[in-house]
Amino acid sequence: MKILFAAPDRDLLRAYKEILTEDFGETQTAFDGPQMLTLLAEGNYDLAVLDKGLPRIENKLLIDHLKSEGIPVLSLLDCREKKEAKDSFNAICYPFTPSELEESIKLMTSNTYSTLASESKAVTENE
Amino acid sequence: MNKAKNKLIRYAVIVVFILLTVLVGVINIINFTMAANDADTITLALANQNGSFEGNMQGGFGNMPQDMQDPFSNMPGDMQSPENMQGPGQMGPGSMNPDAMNQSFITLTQGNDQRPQGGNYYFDGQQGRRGQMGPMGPSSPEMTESIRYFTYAFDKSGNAFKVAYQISAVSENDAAEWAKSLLSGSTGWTRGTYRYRVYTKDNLTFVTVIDQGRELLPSYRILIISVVGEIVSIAILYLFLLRAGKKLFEPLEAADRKQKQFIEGMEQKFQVPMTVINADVELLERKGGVSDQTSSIRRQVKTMSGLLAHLSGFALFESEETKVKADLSRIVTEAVENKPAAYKEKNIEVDVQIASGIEMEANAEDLKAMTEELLLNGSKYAKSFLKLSLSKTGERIKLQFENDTDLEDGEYDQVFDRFTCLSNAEEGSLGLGLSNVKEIVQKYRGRAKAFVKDSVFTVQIDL
Repeated sequence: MKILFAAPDRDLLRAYKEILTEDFGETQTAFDGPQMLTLLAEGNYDLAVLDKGLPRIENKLLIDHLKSEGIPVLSLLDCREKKEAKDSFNAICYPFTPSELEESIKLMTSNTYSTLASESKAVTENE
Repeated sequence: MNKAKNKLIRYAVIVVFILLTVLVGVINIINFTMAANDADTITLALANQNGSFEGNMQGGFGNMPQDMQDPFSNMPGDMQSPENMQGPGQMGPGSMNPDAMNQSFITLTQGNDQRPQGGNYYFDGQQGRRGQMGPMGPSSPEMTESIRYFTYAFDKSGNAFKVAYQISAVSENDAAEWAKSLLSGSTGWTRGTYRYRVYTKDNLTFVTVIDQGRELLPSYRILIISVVGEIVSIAILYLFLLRAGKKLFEPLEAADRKQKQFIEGMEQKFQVPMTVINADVELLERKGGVSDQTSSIRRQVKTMSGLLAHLSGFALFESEETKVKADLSRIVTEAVENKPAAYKEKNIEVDVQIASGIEMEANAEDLKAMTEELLLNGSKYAKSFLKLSLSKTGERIKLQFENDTDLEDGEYDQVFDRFTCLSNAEEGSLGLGLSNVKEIVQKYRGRAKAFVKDSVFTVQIDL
């Protein structure tokens, strides 16, 4: 599995790059929106883990772009935002442990969610 | 904040309304009671004169029974002439013996005491003393001239005899019928502004009715003015409080806003660092194995995470929310289905009795948080079983959690206090979970209590 982890905290990126690479496979990290888009253009990812506060590009635009690419998105939110978030995408709220994140990733990369992501891509193309 | 402000305004208006109503009520009750007493004085005077003042005008109350005072008949002959009246404040020319004048105005209630009482002023021709106001009310000698009344006497057969008819608003026939209709009473008001008295003399039953319309008019005016004044006062108070309340609460609102912003900011600032600490501890343990240090770091981070989760509960004022019907049965059922893994890990038997269709007006997130907190609490402290029941009796909803425990029997309401932990509390426990439960319960005007009986710890929520 190839994972793209995007968050504005370098320590967080460093720690999870190591953990996710060890547990899932290749993991690339992005510090801001443009960097994330550059990485997306260069490779095919199976999952994106995206912090809501990623700077320089609006979060909604990034999510729409990921969905159009057929890439499932796991959002990192604070708990207030998670309560208000619609159920159209999956989320995990800060602070989380590595095991909690990995459990969410496993859930997302099951067949069910892959299908949902493909359907979402089809809907976006038709629009 | 608006809720607190509106509550203050509402309570202030209610308190002032109650006070003003009591004041206005007391004033008007006293006023009308005094009017009734004055009217009774007159009807009694008539009763004592066999129902008629006619022929008794000269010299005041005129011929009265022997046991009643008759001041005018005791006056010197020259006193009975108006031309002989003198002194400051008096109406006519001439001179008058002041001492005799002092006997002129006597109320029927005085007995043998000829001096005016009860606040009635009297003319005093003595030099150096002020003569202020004339006599007022039923004791005035003018009363016999001005009172409008009628009196009928009835024999045992019910035949009516006119005793006196000094009234214009009622015909003689109507007066007789009216008097007859009052025979069963004793005294009181009739037809709004008329006062009556029934008395017997010489085997005849007399009914005297006097017109007090003119005397009652000021009382009614006072009633209307006082009620209107009260309404206007309340309205002015309400408008004033609306305006003043805004200024009064501005600093509090600002403080509340700042506190909420601070708490939100703190939450955000802590969340990512704690996530990083969790991740780095994981990496340390993967490389060097679990150690006391890494375990300690994990525990401390868990404690801090728990504290962060409760930070929003420390707001000064509750946030404005729109309450909708929440399906409590569904919320509790789902919470049980997603109960903490500890129940399975510790082999705790969970017995659930949830009545279906129980709804209440509340924020569903509050109810979910409350139920999850109680389930979490149960998972920590239950030894072998947890019994959960949700039921509704009438309008009261009862949610109850019971688990076995080592605690001694007794009341344990202190568990709902912030930062309070019992002797069996888990290490690192903050003592905030059940306090949050109580805050949610109180938000919806419910009650929460905790007790142990026969080694069963029970948390009972009434909503």
